[in-house]
Amino acid sequence: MAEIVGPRLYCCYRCRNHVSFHDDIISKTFQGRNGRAFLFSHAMNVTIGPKEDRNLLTGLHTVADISCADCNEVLGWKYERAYEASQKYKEGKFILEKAKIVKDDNW
Amino acid sequence: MGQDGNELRTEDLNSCFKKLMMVVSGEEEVGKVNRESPVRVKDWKDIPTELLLRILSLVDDSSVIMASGVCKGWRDSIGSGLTHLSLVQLKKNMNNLLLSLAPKFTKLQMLSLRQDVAQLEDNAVEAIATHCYELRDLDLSKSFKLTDCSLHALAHGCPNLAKLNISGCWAFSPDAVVYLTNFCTQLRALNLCGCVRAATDCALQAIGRNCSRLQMLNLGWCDNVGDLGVMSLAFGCPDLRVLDLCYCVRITDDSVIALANGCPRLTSLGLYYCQNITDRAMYSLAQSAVKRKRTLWDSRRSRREDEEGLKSLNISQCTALTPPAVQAVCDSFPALHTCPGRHSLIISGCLSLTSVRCACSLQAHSSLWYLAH
Repeated sequence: MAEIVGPRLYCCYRCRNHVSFHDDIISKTFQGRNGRAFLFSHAMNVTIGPKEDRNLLTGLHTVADISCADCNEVLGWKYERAYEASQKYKEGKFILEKAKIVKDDNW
Repeated sequence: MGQDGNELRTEDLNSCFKKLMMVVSGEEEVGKVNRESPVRVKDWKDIPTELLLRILSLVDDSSVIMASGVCKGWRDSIGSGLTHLSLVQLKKNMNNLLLSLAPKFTKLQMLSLRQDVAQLEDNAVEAIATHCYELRDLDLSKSFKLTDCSLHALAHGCPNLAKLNISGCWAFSPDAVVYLTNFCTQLRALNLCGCVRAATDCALQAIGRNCSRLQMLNLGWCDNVGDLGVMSLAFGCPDLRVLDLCYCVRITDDSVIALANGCPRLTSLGLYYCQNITDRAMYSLAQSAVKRKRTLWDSRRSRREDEEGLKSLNISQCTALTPPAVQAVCDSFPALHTCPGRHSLIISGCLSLTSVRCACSLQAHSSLWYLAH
């Protein structure tokens, strides 16, 4: 097939389900459970789990774990609420752990 | 006809052919039109051109090329009618193939030659330019072996060129681009992504002077582009709809202001890493939308497409921008979205801009609030 140049996508590392665009990365300097993580403004094809309060490095947040819609692997979490004013910018955004996502083959 | 192609034997095909036994009207003879006497189609080589081309439109391009080598009749039929060809899947020998195909396929309008490994050389492009006068859409991306001779040949041979993709052809010089635009004035779409050497302000001035019909221009990674070039473009190409200035780091607010005022049909603007851009540029975009709406109401001639305005804006890494300015842009262009599923405002790397919301995401938010209360 002809090589089609398209948007740069990230996939679930286990099942290659497309979960996010490279263009939607807000920041690359976040910490996940087991290493580096990226903050994304949008994610797709993920299931959002139940909300829970967690005390993260930056304070208390209400987060919901997100998992791949196809294989149910937990890929990160979504910030539902932030309790400190300086952290409000994260609300509605997604954290995807670097170890759990891979670049789609085209780039 | 059998369902599995593999099982179809030559005898089957021939008997199908005989069953069809087409009777076609006679071809024009010199001096008189003879529509009465039928010409029996005896063999596959006599199949009418239109039917052959219709069949070939259903198969891949390598089969079309093979078909053109079957016999003289098919070669001439295909050559007289083939308008679209893609050799993108070729790993090697693209150059030699083109040298032999160009004289045969003189009616080509669309030719796609994007390569994984750069193989294309000037002589092949010269052959195309010599024989394919009607070429409108040419994709030469990643052919970095090509030199200015190719562009000169295209300028002379293909004056009707409307879409040209030379992204990745970093060997071209700006003079060659200027030369091309002097002849190919019908250009509607031009992709110069990665042509760092060729995309200078001088070249853009030439494009602004000559190609007034230009709708789409990609100047990605061309960091020699400056305000002078973009302002000439905004002045000379009022029909510009899609402009990508990704990594054109030298441009400032003046470029964006010129585009906001000069190109009312702009729907997509890419300013990735243009770190000189400030709120001033954003406010000028917002104001241009207001001005445009006013003139549309006055003229009472508003068409759907004219009303849309910006649909896509990429301001990734433009860290000087502040939320109120970007929110003003979002408010002025209803087709610009931040809601999931169709977001078109790209703010990668701009932590402060995460609060900017399009009108529909605010609506959804407030309706949820009402539901909850």
